[in-house]
Amino acid sequence: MKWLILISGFFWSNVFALCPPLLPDPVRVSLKHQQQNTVAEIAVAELESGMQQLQLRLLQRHMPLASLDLLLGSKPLQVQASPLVEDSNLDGFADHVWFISTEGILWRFSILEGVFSKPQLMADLSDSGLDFIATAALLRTRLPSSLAPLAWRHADQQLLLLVARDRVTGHDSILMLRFSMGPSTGTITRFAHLADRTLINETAQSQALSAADWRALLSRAGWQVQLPGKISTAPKVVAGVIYAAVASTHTADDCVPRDNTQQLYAMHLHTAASVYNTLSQQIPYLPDAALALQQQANKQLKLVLRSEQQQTVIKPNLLKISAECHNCTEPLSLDKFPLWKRLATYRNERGAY
Amino acid sequence: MKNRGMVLLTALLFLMIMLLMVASNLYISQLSMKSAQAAQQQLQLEYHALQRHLSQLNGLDPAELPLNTINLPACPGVYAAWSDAALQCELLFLETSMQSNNTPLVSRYNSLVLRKRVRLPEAAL
Repeated sequence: MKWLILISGFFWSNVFALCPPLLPDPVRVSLKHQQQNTVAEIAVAELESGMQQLQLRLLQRHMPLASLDLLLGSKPLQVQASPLVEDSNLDGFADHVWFISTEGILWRFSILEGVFSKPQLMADLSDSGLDFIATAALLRTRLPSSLAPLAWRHADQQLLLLVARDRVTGHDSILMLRFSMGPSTGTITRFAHLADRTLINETAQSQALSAADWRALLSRAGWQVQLPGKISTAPKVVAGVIYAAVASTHTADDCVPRDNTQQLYAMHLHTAASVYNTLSQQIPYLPDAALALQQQANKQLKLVLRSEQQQTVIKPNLLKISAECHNCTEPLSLDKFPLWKRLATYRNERGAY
Repeated sequence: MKNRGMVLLTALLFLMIMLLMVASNLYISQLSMKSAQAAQQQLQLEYHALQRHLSQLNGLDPAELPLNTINLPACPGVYAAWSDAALQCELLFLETSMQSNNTPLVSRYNSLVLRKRVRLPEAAL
């Protein structure tokens, strides 16, 4: 019996709400079984004993194809954030799954041929005092040689975006963890390895990064930013810019916003620096809304906040980060798409005169 | 003294006969001309194949999707990454082959080309 996994997409809910559910939504994948494609899902299930289990199961069937008990030694782990699926060789088949426990233990394991391998510990953020409540994205990036630090052996990296909540204040943080796409070095990322990019005042937020700052930030294993409230909808990364809507609440445990407005944060993916004139701006709060992209008449893209009933434009004329320099940006226009990029050319010769 | 003269004369005659034979063979088969032109013709064929390949690459219409294209499940790593499926990538194999008319020589160029496009999921409300 040969099982192959085909990624069908990442199905995290766009509607995040201020308090995400305690059990994450399942992540859908397609299985290829005996030359037939079948839809399956990776889900976190709670057993009768109270222990949680990560399961790979076919839709409309109860028996899991593979399962993994969520334990650290003999201590049970709780998982609230959706697992993320990785396809490292871009063949359409999932290679690995990433999941993070609420305490901040990050694991990665392979699911080749429908079998879960032994998980590898990638990061231990348990000393952060945060509850890891959601995963936002797993991104593949490649820095141009002019911007990548010389010490990097591989310019190709995977960036993991996480959402964590402070246990005391109830405020959210966004964390970006950087992992090389090359052979694993076995290094475990700790919270102290991340650069703290929480910028308190507006002057610090609008200050441009120097080249030395850029190098120093890229030498770290990632960054973290503490936000002044709770994230109200799933963050979106558009052309290297992270957009996150943050609403304030009356108390730490509240799941409803205090005001009918909130703040939209726009941060550089690699450094959490400001991309626009200001790091954040006020936008209206719409219940059960999600961030979405729309095209303008001038072919530039705009960001809207959309619910089933209404929508509002929250950021016209979006920018993209440019590889020209570490601070460079340019308008995000559909004029340049679609575009062709030559990756390689090979020459082959047969015979002779 | 007489014997030595005979040997020298015989050797000279032999060399002359060999020279005539080789020269006539080369003349009949045009081997010398071929060997002189071979390298140049090979380079010319390669150059023409490369020229045609580059013109094919430059003439790719971004709006049209050729048949031999593979849809990638995600884009390869880029500096300005996207978190959702709005940025889509396709891989295209482009081949240009040229064959010599007279001799069994084939020069071939293959390129791996990536097409990136942005597809927004749905229209405005």
